[in-house]
Amino acid sequence: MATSDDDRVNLPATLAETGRIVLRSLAPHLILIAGALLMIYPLIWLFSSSFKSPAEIFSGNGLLPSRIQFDNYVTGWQGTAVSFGRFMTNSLVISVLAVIGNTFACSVVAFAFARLDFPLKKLWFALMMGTIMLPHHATLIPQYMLFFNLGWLNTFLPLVVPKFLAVDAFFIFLMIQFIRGIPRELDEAALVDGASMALIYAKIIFPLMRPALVATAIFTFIWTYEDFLSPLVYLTEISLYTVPQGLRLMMSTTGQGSWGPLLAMSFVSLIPLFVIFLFFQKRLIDGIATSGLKG
Amino acid sequence: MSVAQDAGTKAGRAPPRARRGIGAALSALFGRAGGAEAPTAGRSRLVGYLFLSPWLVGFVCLTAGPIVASMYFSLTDFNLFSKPVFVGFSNYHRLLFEDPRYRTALGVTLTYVFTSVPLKLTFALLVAMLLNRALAGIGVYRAIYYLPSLLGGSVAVAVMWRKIFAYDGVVNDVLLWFGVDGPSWISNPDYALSTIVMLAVWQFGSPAMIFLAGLKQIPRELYDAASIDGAGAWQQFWRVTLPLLTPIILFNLVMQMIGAFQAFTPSFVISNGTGGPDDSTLFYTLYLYEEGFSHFRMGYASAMAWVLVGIIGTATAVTFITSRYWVHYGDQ
Amino acid sequence: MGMISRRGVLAGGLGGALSLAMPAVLRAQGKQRIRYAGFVQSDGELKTLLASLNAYMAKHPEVEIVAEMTNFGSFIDKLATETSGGNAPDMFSCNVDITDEYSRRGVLRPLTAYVPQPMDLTDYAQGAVKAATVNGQLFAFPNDAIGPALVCRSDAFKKAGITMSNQMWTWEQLAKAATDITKANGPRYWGLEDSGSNYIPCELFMRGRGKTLFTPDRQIGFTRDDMAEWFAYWDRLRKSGGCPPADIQASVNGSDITTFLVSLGRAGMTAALTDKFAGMQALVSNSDLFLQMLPNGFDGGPMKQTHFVYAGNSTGLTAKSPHADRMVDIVRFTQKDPEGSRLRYMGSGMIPCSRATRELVGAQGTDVDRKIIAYVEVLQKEQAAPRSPGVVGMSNMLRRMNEAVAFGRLKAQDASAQFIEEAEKRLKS
Repeated sequence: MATSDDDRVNLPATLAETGRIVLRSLAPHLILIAGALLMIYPLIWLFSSSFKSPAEIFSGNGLLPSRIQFDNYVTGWQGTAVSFGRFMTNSLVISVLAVIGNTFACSVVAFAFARLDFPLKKLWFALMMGTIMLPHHATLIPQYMLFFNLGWLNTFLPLVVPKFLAVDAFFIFLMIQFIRGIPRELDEAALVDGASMALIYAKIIFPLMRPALVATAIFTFIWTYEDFLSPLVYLTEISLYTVPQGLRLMMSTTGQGSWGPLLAMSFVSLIPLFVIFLFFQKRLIDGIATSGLKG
Repeated sequence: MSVAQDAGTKAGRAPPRARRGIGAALSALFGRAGGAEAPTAGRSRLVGYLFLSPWLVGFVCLTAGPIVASMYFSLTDFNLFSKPVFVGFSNYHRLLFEDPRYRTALGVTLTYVFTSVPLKLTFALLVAMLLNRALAGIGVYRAIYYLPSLLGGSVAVAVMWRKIFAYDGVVNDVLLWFGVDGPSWISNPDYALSTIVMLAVWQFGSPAMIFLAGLKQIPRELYDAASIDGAGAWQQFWRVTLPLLTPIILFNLVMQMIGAFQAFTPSFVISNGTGGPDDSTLFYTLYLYEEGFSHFRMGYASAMAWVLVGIIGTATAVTFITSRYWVHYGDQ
Repeated sequence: MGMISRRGVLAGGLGGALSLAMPAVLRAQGKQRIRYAGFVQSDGELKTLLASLNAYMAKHPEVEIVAEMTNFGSFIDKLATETSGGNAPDMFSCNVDITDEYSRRGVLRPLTAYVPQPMDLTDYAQGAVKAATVNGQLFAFPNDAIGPALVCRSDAFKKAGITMSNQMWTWEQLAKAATDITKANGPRYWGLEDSGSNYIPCELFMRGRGKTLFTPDRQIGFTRDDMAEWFAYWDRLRKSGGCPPADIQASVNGSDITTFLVSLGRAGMTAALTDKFAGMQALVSNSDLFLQMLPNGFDGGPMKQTHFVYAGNSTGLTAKSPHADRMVDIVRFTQKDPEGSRLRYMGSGMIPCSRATRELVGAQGTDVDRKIIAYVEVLQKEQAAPRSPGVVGMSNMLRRMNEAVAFGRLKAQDASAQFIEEAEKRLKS
């Protein structure tokens, strides 16, 4: 972890000053820890509940389970029709493909909107924003018919191909805002040096918008991994189900529910998300050498 | 980083006679060495559309059709199974003038938008600034602060929110220590929507990460310069951080607003999608979904969707127009 | 990263996605492929259903049954989308409302031609067969038998000193028992969950008054006073303390037993269908649960059994599917074949609709299974007519009106008037 300049302090002169400095360096930690407890409570709850029996999960608010055994994890992972690992693999494959699609396709399109000029640009931008405003449920059936006629149902294609065609306007808009924050002098200087537009995109804009790319990658991954409605209608065979569908299969509101295994697998399914977040957020920090941005 | 630094040094060496204007810049995609040839309009169009093409292909082939179809459905009586029957604007008429539940849904949604969005954004920005420092273990803090957002609208959240805010939940257990017998927060029409707003604020992770990414993009030199000018932390925030963050604030504002207008999942967390208690959490899209998929009135639901597009579109347009006065772009 | 390598990655990604698409397409050839979509209520039900389908496929290698199962809420949306998109599954699970809706829309195939050969339904719970019949045609084969009941906690009854000796009782007696249980078990404990939002007890209440919610020819079968009295009944119970206050009751989601106050040890009785009993008992570790009939009349009035037995889960066939005969054979195997039905029902939590299969489960099943079977047999002794389907979204309407009364926004009379007005509008459209 890099130490920033303003944390570097001269040697303290007096004891009082030492105390102040210690306090000053501890205070952020104390605030952060207090907040973190509030944030982490659900995870603690989920983790402890994943060891409980259904009766214990729903009665009482105690956090500690009355027994520690891993039945819920074993049963949940084994699954009924297929192993839970299968659902996780499906989700991971779809999410990784979606990340690749979104980061490249959206950044190319965002570059067009932010830096290039072409006829009907305003119209296309308005239409693009318009696509986010229409509730998903209103287009679900025509969209379904389209993929049905393409013969894509019961494959990952309806979940992946749109990402390569920059259908997620959210990320295009995000990247446009980031690119617009990059001083134009940089591209112009490169132009003078004889760079082509493609080169400017590849060598200047793409590396400089890394925080936005990382944000896109993280969100695409998480949102695709957690998406419920699209996989529900496009994937029909149990062996192709994703994590949220797999969890729904365990959820039972009427019969004898597998609540223990359900919560255990909910916890397990969070692990890849957490790891990916932990890994990528570093990129978010180290992502940009700000010194390069001197106008 | 070498690339950026490389570009930076190039920028540093940039001769003052650098040509301005996008038209000139575009010609450089194919022409090398400062664009000796005269730029042609045809070429610049081609370049723009070349970069736009992934989206354009996706729009024409995948998105536009369903959108047009739903627009047509909104003018029909469509029960999902029989052929839609054209009825003109009668769905819109019924929606705007004859449906009291629609008005309830609109009211719930507007309340939600106007409370959850400002609260969530303020909170997200505060946390982003708190997390934007070089502390030991900051990565772990960031991950922990993102945790609530990872849980999303999952089954686990529904069970947990109930554990916290039900009549025998954690909140009331704590209140009981002070001798207060609290209401059932999640299922009381006076408070149910507030608990959903709290859920939204608690899941501040996405806008906070975007703010964090925006904060990272602010050149450190600007702070150094401000600090040389004698600006304190507070002044630095107002003079450097906030103005340079405005494009990202605009993004987060617009996106959170659109998202809040379309809020759907949270009502499943507390009312299993019924919109209860007493319709106090009947969100716009939830009512739309209920009409379309539970009552098989897809024509009516589609009309509702297009009115929502009108509302969101207006709100977004207004935001964009005002943004001219408060958003500062680095490329201007 | 240069432009070319980026294109490479893009192409690789698309190629990967395409290759993922291949297996499903290739596999479809050569076999009779049948898509069986449906909802399962528990893990056990999924397990047993898959086991019986696998056994069928083992016997008939030329058939491939693709099980497309999910939970109930998701299934409804998925079925609507698939059917509307022209891609309905070949066979699918139905409840009474799905059977009614999808048969009237021409999606389901009439099945009367398959009865009694090869499907002999004489030993089925006849209420279930009637409930799956629309305009004189059978549209689904009933898998299970369920009926309305009060699910009661023995500990709460014992504490209040109430012993139930007779299944037949009145709505007034129920109200008194509820208040007594509250008094004996309180505070934060109530005798009876507010069922004013639940249309099944409401149907029985109407029957007790010689009425019905909806008539077989889709008309409203009650008056404004009848419905107002229904809302007022629960309002009185809330005021006397027999039922929990409105906001506490509103935390209960009628289709999710983990939110039931009886499951959580906060109430002594709740109205529920028998298919919820086993799941509820699994959540209640400190008391036995038992099944008791809802009231069958009013003080001083005639007492007549008003409960009906029907199927919570039936199997219907899509009219367009070319595999009708094969699918009937699959249903026959899972419902009537000794091997198939044992695999299908043992451990599924379902009570089979066929008496022969029910006796098999009763002989080998758990105590809880036997309690449910015994109760279903009681209901069958004196069978009442099945409920006539009303309007789409009725349960939601009733819940809204009852909540409006409970939270003090509407008077019982006005809520009744509004219910009738909305129902009439829907009946017309």
